[in-house]
Amino acid sequence: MAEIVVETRGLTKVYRDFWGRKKKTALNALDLTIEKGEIFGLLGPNGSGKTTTIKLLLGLLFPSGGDAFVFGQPAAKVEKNEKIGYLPEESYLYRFLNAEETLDFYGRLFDIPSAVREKRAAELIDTVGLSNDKKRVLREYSKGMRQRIGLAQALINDPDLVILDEPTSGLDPLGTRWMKDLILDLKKKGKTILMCSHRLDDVQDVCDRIAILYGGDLQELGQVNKLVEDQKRLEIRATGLQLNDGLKHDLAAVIEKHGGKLEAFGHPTTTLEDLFLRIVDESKARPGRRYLPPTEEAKK
Amino acid sequence: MSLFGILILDREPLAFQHLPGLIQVWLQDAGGFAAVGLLIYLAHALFSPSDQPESTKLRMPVTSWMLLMAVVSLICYAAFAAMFIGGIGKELVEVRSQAIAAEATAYVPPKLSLRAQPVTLALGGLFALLSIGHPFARDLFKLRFRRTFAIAKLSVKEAIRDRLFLVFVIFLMIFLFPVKWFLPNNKPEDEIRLTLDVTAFASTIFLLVPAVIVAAFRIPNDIKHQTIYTIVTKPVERFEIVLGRFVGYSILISIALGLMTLVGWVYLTFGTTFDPKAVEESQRSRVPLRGKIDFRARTADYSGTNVGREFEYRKYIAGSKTTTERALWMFDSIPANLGSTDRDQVPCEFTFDIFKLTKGEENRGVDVNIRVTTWQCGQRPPDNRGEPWAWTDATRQKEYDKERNDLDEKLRKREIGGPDAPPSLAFARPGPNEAWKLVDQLAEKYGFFEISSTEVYDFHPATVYLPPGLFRNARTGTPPAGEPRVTVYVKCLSPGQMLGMAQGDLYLMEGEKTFTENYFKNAVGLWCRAVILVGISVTLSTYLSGVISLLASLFLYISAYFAEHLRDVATGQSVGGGPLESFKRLLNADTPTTPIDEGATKRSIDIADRTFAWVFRRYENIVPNIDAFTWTNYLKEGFNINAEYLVLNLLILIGYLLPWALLSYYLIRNREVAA
Ligand SMILES: Nc1ncnc2c1ncn2[C@@H]1O[C@H](COP(=O)(O)OP(=O)(O)O)[C@@H](O)[C@H]1O
Ligand SMILES: [Mg+2]
Repeated sequence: MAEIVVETRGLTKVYRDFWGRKKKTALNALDLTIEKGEIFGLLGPNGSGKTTTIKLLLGLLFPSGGDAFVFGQPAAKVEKNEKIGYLPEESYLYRFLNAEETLDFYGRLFDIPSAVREKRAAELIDTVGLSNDKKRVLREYSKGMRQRIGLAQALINDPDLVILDEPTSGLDPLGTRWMKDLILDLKKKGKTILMCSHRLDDVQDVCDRIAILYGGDLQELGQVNKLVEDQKRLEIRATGLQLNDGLKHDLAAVIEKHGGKLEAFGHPTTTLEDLFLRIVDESKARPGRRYLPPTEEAKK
Repeated sequence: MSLFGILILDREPLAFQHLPGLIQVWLQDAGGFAAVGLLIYLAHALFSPSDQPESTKLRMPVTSWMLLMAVVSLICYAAFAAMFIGGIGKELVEVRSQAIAAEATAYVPPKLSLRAQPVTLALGGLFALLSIGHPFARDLFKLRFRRTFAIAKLSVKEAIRDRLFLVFVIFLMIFLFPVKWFLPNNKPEDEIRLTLDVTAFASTIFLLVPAVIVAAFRIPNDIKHQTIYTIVTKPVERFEIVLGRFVGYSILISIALGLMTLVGWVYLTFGTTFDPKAVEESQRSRVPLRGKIDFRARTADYSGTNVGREFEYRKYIAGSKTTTERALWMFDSIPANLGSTDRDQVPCEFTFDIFKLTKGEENRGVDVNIRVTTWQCGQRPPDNRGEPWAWTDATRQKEYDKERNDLDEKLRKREIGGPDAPPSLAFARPGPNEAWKLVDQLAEKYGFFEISSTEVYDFHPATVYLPPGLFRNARTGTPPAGEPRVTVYVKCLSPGQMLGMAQGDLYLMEGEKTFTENYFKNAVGLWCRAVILVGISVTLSTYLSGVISLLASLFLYISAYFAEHLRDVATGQSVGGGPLESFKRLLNADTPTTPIDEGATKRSIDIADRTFAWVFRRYENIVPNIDAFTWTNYLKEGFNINAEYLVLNLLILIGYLLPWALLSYYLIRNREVAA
């Protein structure tokens, strides 16, 4: 079994006001494990508790119940941060620093010696494509540029676990493509990645496993390709032939012969998006719905 | 203004000998606060549900060491309570306030007390500190210079790039223009004083205000703008954030203050010409040797007269040719350089207050007799009215009188002393001349020197010169315990006049240092104040919002200016008693001195006033002792700021900030920065 990098046990977060009155249950008894080397996606509409989960893992928030562990250490432990890189939802960095100074500052926070720091900063600035703008202060950066420097900042310590909160938000299609490639690249280097997004195509393209959150509850958990697979239905793909009634008729006959029924016939469209929307609809219709891990029987 | 100046100079300057007492009081006070904090902490940590997440246990650790120390501390406090109720040992607080009462408004440094009560109280505090300080001390080892300094550097960069500091420094420059341009109507001899006052005021405002603003708003803004997310998710100890900010702003203060001080010094030294009188009075750095004051007369219970002036800060002696009333200054230790053969004289400077009972002559001061003796030449008051003070050794006095008369005789006949010799030793002037050499030898031989009459004016500094031989005599041998080596006796000769004096009014001049050195030392005092303010506001801002932190720190700081005056009311040392007692008098329209009827009312008022005094003293512990760091009075009056005093105040600064650091450590650790 692979090494477990992130683990939450009944992780719950209730936001309270100054007087301790309950404002909102943002996360409800989340159980999750993320293994080394995988790209894990947290999926859910706005306000479903994705960012809350990440903040709890990082110790930015304190759990109201349950516990979170990273690299086997409690989230409150500062030492675990040595191997974590974090890109916040919006890249809140010091706007009066330029790109070089920013990376130097965060490098110092990792207590990295100056020679290593300089080398890494130069490499990262190159990787995120800011070489021409490295002397400009962040105040002058566009959203996309800030996202890039934010990512560079998250990688300054060559982390084993990279946590990305909405990494593609604010990026144009090209930037999004670049970000996805970079994430896949990190996986190739053996890093574990936890990302969250409400942009489903992103998740589908890169994630190995996903968890779907809605209203603070875990709704679905599993491998992306398995989840979008429809067990009751069969998909046949073919190339090199035209779509026509004759073909449809023949196919229907073959399928009927095997006890099936031709449902649809056309160009494939099923995406993660469908699944996602279905789950959200179901949740609205049946508010108590929660994801339950498969029982032993079901596995057999 | 001048009243405060004199009051400050009157503080008995702290010296290393006070360190044990200071530490004891610190343990009592800081330890007391630590004990309260510990109680809350342990109650919170131990009585919350046992199924707490690991993370919570990490944030609020309870080590066995903490528990052990807490128990020991509790035992100490219990023992103290038992002794307090049983009246065993003595209460330090009582002793301290008595001491203050006796010295009027003078500040008395705490003395180490080995009585059971103060010692157990200090021990209780010590163990409470050891308990609550354990996680803090343990985490200190995790601090890394690179990380802390990175945050410090960031703070400096931010303040400079925000241009806030620049604006203030530019503002400050305005105050460097000659004061006389703005305030033309002042005495020429006060010119430097005024300039120093104005620049001190300006730099205080223009240094402290921006410092407190950046310090109070930075961490709350980091939280608000979420820039703190990328910091706390790095392997940064939470306390490093506080420490880094504090260090950063301290560096910033140092830079700004360094610049201001340098510019100010250049201006004072090269930029302008001051009135020579002002230069003589202020642009110097005298090193005074201060003694303890006492008042004596024929009657044993004499302790000086009150004339109802200035909160009875000064005591008065009556003037007449035959009075036996004397003001004494006693010097316990005499540094070697006073008796050095390289010097001609030791100046003795004084400023007295004259209280006229009769009109006296116009433009005429008061005649004063000054007698300086060493421990080898004891003096005693006479038994009968009208007789003079005499030597305890009558034969020795006769020998002295004879030898002196012989010398005077020879001088008069010009047998000794050369062609320019004065007609008697009384006219000998300090310098490399024969007559003064004779005075010096005589003083060394007998340990006695007297100026039969010199004229002084109301509140005007005057100087008399003493022969160094006197101090050589004082330094030989060991005086009996409790006996000072040198005593100065002041007698007022003019009938119908009273001479008022306090401890700080007369001193021996040990030497002179340079004004420049003093000027830069003075800046250290301002630096300390700024650092205190930054420390407080950074600590508060770990928990409170920016505006609230700013207001709270300013409130604490400003109330420090009133603390000393409020204390007199709180501790019942003002004439009307404590606040409730005064209030009752007010209701009954009594005068402050009519004794209140004994009985239940009196008792309950007493208890209430004592409770109030206790609460107030705790408040006073929280408030920084700003006065102790205000040294401009030394500078502008031309007195050296003692290096020992400076070092001690830096230690006090650390002692004051340490509990704040502890508080900030716990606050920032338990702050949910993303909530
Ligand atoms: N500091 C806060 N105080 C109160 N409620 C909050 C706070 N932060 C987030 N929430 C609420 O918690 C829920 C989850 O938020 P979040 O985790 O940010 O969602 P998302 O999945 O979009 O990242 C939302 O309903 C949000 O309004
Ligand atoms: Mg979010």
